[in-house]
Amino acid sequence: MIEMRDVSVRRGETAILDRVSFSIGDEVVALAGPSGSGKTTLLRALLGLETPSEGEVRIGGRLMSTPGRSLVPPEDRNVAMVFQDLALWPHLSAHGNLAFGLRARGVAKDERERRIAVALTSVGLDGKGGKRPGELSGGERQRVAIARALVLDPAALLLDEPFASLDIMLKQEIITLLACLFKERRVPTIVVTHDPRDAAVLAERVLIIEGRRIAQQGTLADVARAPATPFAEAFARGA
Amino acid sequence: MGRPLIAAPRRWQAQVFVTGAAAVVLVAVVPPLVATFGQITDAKDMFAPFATGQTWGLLLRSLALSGVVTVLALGVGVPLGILFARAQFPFQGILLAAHLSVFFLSPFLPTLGWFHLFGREGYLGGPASAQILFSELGCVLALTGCFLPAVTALTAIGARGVDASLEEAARIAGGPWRAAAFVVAPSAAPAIVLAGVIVFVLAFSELGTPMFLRVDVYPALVFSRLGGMDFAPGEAAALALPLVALTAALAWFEQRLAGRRAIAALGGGLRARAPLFAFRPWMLGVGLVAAIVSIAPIATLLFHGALNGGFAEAPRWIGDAPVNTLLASSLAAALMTAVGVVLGFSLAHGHATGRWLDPVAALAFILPAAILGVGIAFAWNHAATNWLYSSVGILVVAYVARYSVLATRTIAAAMAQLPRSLDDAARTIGAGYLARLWLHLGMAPRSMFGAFALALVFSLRDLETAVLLYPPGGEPLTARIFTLEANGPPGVVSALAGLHVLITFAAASVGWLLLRPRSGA
Amino acid sequence: MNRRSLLALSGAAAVAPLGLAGCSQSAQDVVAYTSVDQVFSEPVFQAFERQSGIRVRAVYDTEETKSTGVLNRLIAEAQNPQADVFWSGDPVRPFQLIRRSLVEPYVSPQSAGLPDAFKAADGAWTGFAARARVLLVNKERVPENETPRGLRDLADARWRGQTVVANPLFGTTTMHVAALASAWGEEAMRAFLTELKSNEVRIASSNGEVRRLVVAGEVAFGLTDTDDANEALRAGASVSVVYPDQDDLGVLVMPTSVMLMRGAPRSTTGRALVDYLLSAEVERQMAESAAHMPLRPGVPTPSNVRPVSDLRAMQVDYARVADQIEAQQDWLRQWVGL
Repeated sequence: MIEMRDVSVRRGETAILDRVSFSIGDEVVALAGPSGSGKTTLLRALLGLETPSEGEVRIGGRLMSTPGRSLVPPEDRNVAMVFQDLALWPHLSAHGNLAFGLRARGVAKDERERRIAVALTSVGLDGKGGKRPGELSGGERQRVAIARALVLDPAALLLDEPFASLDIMLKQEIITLLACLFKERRVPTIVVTHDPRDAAVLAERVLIIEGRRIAQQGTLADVARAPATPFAEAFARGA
Repeated sequence: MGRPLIAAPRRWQAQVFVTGAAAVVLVAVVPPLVATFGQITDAKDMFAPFATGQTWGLLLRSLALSGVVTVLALGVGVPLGILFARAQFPFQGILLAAHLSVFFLSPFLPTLGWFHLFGREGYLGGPASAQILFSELGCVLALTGCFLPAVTALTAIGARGVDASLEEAARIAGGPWRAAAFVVAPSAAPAIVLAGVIVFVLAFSELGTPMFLRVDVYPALVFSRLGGMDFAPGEAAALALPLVALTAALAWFEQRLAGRRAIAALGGGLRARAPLFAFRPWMLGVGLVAAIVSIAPIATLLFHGALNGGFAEAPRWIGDAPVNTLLASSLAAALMTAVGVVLGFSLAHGHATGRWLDPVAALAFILPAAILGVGIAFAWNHAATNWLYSSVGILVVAYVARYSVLATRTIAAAMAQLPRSLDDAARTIGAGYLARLWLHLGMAPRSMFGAFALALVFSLRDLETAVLLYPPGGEPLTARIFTLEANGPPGVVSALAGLHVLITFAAASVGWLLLRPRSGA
Repeated sequence: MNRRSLLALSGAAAVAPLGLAGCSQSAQDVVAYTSVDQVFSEPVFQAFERQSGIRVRAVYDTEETKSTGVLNRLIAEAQNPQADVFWSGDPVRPFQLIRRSLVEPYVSPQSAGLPDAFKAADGAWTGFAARARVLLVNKERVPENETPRGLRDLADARWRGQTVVANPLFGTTTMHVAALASAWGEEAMRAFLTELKSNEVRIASSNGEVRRLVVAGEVAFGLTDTDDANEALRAGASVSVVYPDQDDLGVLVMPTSVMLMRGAPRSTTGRALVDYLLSAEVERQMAESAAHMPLRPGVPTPSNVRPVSDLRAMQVDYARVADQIEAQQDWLRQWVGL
């Protein structure tokens, strides 16, 4: 369960996230909104990379932050993220990228190797663990980023526009992969997307954020039936 | 993939600018090198010194000494740089400035400060501390203290420039310590390797501190052919030949470790992010220690000076030295930055001119300053060039010869970091050379200031090159500090050293105001 | 970064040559190179400027050996001389220049009052305001009854590891060693230096450093110049000065010396400066400010300076000493370890 209650994030006088509240169980939720609406800030506040000035963040029932104060640092929240630009460490191999977090959690070598092998297999990267990001194709890099998030067995998973730079074939491939993975692992998951069709395939619910506030939440059908804003209407219609 | 065409009508731009910039560096660097190594043929029995084990022993000893200094400086400076760049604690900026200040002085002055502190009758000294100070260990520690800030500064620049997502991804997965050790530091490797090379070169060529602390070093051997009674520049040049091999080795080492990757921080477009390490009281402690270790020798020098009542006399002795220093150094730094923009762009894109010039300019940086200085005198002291040789201009030539590689490398590093596609995009829409250059500067907005600051600091602190050829009546402040150091009032020497630090900060600040990246630019 | 930045930068780079050209010359000036400490020589030049209206543009020596020294700069610049006058801190280095034909003999009218032993008959060099080589003793470390009396005490096992001499490859120590070779013979001088080494004498980079080490109590005593010793006394250090070997060999006296450079670009103002430097006024000034002993009879000597006539001085042929300097270089280098 991840939960935000009246969370605001401020940069100086400006609120870049304004009294956001929602709660997500073991389900996949698509987060949609116009550019600059606060999607990435919301994810960063969940991760602990931004400290909310107001409101509370809870993950797995545990209080993560109170106004102005982060109680649990990012590394202890057990939330994994697939970054928009993937953020694969270029000097480490695929295996090294996966091993990094496991080592930090003190996972023993045998167990670590086993989990890396499973994660690489689950994203279809058998035998490519030794390659560095620069030696992999775009699709393969995307898979490494997903495997790196999953290998930690996170309590929640966040994906920031994971399909933004993929061609249509590759995107299909990754969506299929993610759909399978989400079925296997039921954890609270947020996928940021601009494409209502992705939301339709992957997510059970959508969260529409506009003007740095939550404009609407519900199933895609709910939104289509009674859109709260023109953006919500356009988004739902696009599905 | 075919080589994209430069828009034909504007090809002259590239030719004019690259040729012009290359000419500046060649004119500054090549004549003294030719003049220096040309002397070798005149030297009688020039290779005789290499027949003795003493020469090789001294060379190995110097290499070991500078190696240990480099390892220590990196060992302390890299964590310190990351701390200053990615943690948040009170008085961070002031403590960093204090930590950097010792690097602005020629190492002999801080060493003198340590002597007043830890010498036998120093303020905190006794026989034991004096014994340590006047030993290889003392020499290593004194030099490490002087050069450490270079590693801190370059690591901090590198660490600040590490891609925000890379750092955040590492932090989420492994926490701040692992992120710092395994992602931030490796990502800042080019900056760190450059810092290591600079420290190694400075430590290897340092003469004043080892001689004062009675540690025999190889540059003293070279120098004994120039500063003794037998003026034998040919022999000195022959003795410098192993340093050519050293240049090649360092270039290889740097290439191998850092490749063409860059000091990312000098690039642009950095997303604001939270500090990697939240405030803990020990951080303030570490920052304080770093600042105190740098400030202690300078403060001791100033205190010793004040105690000896020499400050009142400083105005009488200072002469035109600050003006001479600022004039020559800022002109040289401006010239090196202008040239560095053009040649750095060329080097970053692997163009032949940039690639060939780089090792030549690097050799001028690595050679003992005395050899380069004598070479400059041989090369420029002719009737036809007397107008330059007898003016402050010769200092500009000397600074450009010795330090241009630093400015060019700084800009090249930042530009090499930019995705190649950005340049290709500009070329395909027909952008000419100047437009592309402009575009790159816009994308690497801090690189110009970085290059200027580096060139300025090195020119301002230069003693060894300048002292050989400053124009009569036009000595820079460093030279005056050292000519007055002989029997001069100690307070004056200390006051001038303090003033030198202030001038460096002031000049760097003016550079920052002129060259800083502006929002929306 | 914006267009203004680049304009400022290119502007600065473009005007550089203009700004610099203006710095180089002025109508009535003279270029003097000197190895006499700046702290003493600069006030002399300033007094000359006030009196003559001629501007002195000077190049000074750093006593520490981080420079190649103005002497070598003079040699390096021989093809296109920059200096008009060289004022040397000792009477031996000029021979390096004389041998290379870099000196223009000039018999100054002012040299008439100076003793013949301290000048060349043809005017190649003229000596005045002298220093001597003395032992500077730290009184805290050396009981009065054990005060050293001569150079040989540096080799006394009693003081093993507690004495210091400056590097004989540089500075006045070079001359001192050569003078010993000339007085004792080469073998005896080398044997003495070998004894010093086995007695673990420290080698400082300069006489100023010898002073610093003695004053700081790092060592018991050391060999240095009278001007350095005087600085220590003036600073109130607990030291005493011993003029060595007053019973036998005598103390080495080293006049500063002045010469006009061949091909001097400004020989007229150069001659004027030489004349001024050789005046009684400058000897008096150097005695007061730098504890240099006047050579000209009748110049008053301050209390802290012993008159040359009071001392037993080594009998020295400066030209021969200069020869010895070249002859001993390789051996000295070995001795120093370079």
